[in-house]
Amino acid sequence: MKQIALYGKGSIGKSTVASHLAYSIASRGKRVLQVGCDPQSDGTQNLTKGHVKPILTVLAEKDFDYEEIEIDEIVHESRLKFDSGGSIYCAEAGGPDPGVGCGGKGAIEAINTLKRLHVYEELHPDLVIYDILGDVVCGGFSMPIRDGFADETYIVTSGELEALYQANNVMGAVQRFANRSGAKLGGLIVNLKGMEDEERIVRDFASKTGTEVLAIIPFSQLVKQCSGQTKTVFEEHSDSPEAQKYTQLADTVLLGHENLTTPLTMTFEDLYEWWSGYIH
Amino acid sequence: MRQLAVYGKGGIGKSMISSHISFALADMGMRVLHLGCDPKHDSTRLLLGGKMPRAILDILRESDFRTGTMELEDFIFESPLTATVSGTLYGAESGGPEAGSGCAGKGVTEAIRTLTALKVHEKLELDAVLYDVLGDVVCGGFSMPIKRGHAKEIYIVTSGEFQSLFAACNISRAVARFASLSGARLGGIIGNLRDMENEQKVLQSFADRIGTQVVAFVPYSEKIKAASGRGETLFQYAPDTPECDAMRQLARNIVNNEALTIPEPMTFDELHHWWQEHKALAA
Repeated sequence: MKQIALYGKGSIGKSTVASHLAYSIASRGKRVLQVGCDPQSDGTQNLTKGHVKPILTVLAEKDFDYEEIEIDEIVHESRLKFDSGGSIYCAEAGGPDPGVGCGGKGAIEAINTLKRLHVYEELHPDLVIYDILGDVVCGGFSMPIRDGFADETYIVTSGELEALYQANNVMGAVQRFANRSGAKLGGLIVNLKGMEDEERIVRDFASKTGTEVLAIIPFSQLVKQCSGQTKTVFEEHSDSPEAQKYTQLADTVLLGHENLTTPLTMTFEDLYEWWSGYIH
Repeated sequence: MRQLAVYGKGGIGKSMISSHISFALADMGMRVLHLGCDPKHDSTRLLLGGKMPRAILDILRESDFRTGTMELEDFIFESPLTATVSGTLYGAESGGPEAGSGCAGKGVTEAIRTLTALKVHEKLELDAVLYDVLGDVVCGGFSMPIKRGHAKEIYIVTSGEFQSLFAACNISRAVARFASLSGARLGGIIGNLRDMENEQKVLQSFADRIGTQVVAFVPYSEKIKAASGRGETLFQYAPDTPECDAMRQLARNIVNNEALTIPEPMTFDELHHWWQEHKALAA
């Protein structure tokens, strides 16, 4: 079983990337578990075609009594079927009630619950994808990195300052816990936002932080349209360039690559100064 | 003293808009403190001539979280723009957690504790304090200004995009939750337009649905981006533009705002349902 964490700031497209990876890898006959760790709880909707009740909600309903919870209450098998025999399972962590408690509690409780209910052993997935909000890299949201759940961390970013700032923070967490948990950075997945010089910006960022750009995904009306219908592009446009792009990315993630690193980070001041050099 | 908080999703333009509000208030003669409550600590950048001040949390770490030896000048910075207004403009930044550890909202909690312990409001004789708060994760920490009554009027910056409305919905839920405890009220939403189809309609409908008003629409503008790139507000970069007039109007609407309400927020399911009805409009 391989486990990866996919971080990105809200609305950067991390769940789109995650669901396409899950689809592509399941279509090769693999078993994939995708865990959405964003309080918005819609990270798996392209795969489940509907709303999945978050683990935190189920836990609250059962007064945090794990004995009372069945696996199928928190993990949902996708209705997507694959001739290869692959399958996709989905879970959503959930988030805090607005105004109270810890923002990352959903992520912490979700992973603990999956472990306590022996979900990994029961479903024996080949790949687990944690799809995580990277806006606030606090103790909670960094749990997959901190406690060694994710063998490899990938970051979805664009060339925008906000996105690179979040990426830099996630890298800080990988760096911090590299020794303790064996966390490694797999690289950057770039969702272009259409800025001038954007490819140069992200490539320069990758070289400054000692990592690499694994994929550059152009803005696509097709992907947006499919997402609007809660679908991946694979379902009706399997020959599209977009589908090919995600297939290549899935190859890289599944087979692994040589260049797993402990990243370097920048201070926000340095990041800002460097980034501003590209903006005219 | 007016106690305002501006919340919004990261990247939505809340710091840009709240800087304009703070400047406009000082321009009306008020003594204003602008407190950035975003871990990125760049909220005051446009007010401090492109500089980023040291964050309160960073200073506290050095003094082992004791405020006894701290001086106001260590963490509160008078804006160079004060020379251009009839009032006075101060800035400070709360700061955020070290990557991967601790609580995200700790910066906010500690900043407020420090301001209170050092009696900053009294010493600076403030007429207004504006908290500019990250609204992506409305946890206990980030909702501190609402929960403990440090902010009495909450404004939410949002575009017509779902993610942004999701954050707005969360924030309005926090206001509703603590309204009776802390006296916090929702002042309205500030529409920061992203150039979407029918975006004003979507935002107006959202405001109606949660029982509040749209305080102002800020137009999508290349000039705002350019000003921000130079570390300036529109008041310096392009004062005689419709965009800058929109900011002036926004600040006036806030000053004269009498429609402070306890919102009737949507649940997540209601929001999803509402969005299904409205997304065709926004397509």
